[in-house]
Amino acid sequence: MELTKLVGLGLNQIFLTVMDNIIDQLCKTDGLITPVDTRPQSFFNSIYQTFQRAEKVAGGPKNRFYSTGGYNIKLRFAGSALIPFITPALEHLSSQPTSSPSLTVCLWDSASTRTIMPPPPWSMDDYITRGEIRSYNEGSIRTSYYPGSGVLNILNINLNVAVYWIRNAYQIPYYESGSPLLPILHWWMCNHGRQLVHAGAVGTAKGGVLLIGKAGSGKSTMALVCLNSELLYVSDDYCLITTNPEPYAYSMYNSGKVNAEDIKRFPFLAQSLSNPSRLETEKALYFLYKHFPDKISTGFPIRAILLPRVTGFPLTRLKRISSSACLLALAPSTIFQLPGAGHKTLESLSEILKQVPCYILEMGNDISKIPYAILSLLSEH
Amino acid sequence: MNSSMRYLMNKPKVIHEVFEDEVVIINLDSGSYYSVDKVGAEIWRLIEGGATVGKVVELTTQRYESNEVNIENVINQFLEELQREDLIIHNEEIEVVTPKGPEIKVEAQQTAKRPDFEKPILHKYTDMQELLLLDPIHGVDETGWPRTKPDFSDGNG
Repeated sequence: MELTKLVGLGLNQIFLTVMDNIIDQLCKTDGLITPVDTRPQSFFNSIYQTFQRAEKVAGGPKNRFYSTGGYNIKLRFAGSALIPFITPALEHLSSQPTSSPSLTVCLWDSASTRTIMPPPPWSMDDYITRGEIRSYNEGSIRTSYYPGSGVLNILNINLNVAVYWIRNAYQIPYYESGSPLLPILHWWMCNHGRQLVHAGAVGTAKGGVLLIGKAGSGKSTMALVCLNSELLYVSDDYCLITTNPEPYAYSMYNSGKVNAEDIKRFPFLAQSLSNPSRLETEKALYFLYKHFPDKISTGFPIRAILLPRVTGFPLTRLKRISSSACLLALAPSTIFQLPGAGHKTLESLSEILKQVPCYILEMGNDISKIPYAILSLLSEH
Repeated sequence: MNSSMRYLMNKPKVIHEVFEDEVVIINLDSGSYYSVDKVGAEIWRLIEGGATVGKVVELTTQRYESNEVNIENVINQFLEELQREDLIIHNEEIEVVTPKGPEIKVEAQQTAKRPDFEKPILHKYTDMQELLLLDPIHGVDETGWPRTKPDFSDGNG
């Protein structure tokens, strides 16, 4: 291991890096130890070194700090190009700088840093579902690449360091800005007692509800309607949950998306829209923290889980459903979006469903009644 | 179907969770997911516990009134359906292993009135399959990374 490669790493990271290399060497020389595939580790090292070069070209790091799920996260940008595309969704989680973040994510783009990305070491056949790369999710390394967005995410679980790369910051898709770093946060939080879920969340400081269901099921509409009530907004689409010591939802993004035609129902959103000129081809993306900072909560205990359903009837009402019916609505839409999600994620989701009641929220024609139904439910739990 | 035959859950691509008398099953490769309850859930749990087909038939027959339904035929059809959906696979390797009795949850009922046997139904859902569609790749750039047409359509949420 060259000493120059260790410069800039913390003591813990240096120890783990050296251990990784010792294990690599043992695997190569000692027939008694099962050989492991060292390509993922080598690829991570190569990508991290390239990031360091990009950071140098860009004039040094530009750091931002955030806190969620009880952990501090450092975003270390190589230059400024990506900052306006990544940070708005996380602004409400902004925290004081720390010298010992739980997770560090290194972000860069090739265009603004004039730094060429090394070629991918895998073949075209290795791009599989959910952005996963075959053979590059082994040991301590997690890798995803989405040809649609052109975003590479790679995490070294042992080092608590991830790298996020895109060819050109100005080509980042709007939905990536709405929920940036999703795979990295999923992988890392999954190893730290937090589960990322596809769910909205609204409530009060004392407790709230998860809003579940596939895209288009009414989660965003419900969350937006609640902005005009005493309910606080934790998430539109994704949040972190835990069951230890109690069921709890942590906010991840203050963003949301609705279909362009629905934006007329929420005129107060106009000031928060990030893509008003592109609504013919994109969903409306909004960031709420800037204009509604008092309405955003960083988290609350989970008291119930609601599955919204549009009924066309006048009344809004709640109907209790089984935990398994709730799992059917929550688990597939979460698991099929997250690279590497599997049995562990299913177990985490099941655990929370065993601890909180589940309901269908039949949304009546007058959607302004929805917050009252939720507040009434919360008063009972 | 051979009564000494055993099946395995098709791990790791198939995951499942048991809730009371219902099982939720997810096929990570196909994007399909399933639910099965009552008798079907009991059969699933027996298979998971390592029971042979013969043992599944025996325990189910003891537990339910058949009402002139041929329980063995129905169970065989159900197991074939689970196989077609790639949820279970034939386990040749442990065919001679002694059954794990304690893991078999269904207990024979000795009371006079047993519940009626209901044909197990595997409910299948395919509405999430689109999430597993691969992004189209339109060649690679000079550094080897896939180039795609700009996609500003949606995203997942």
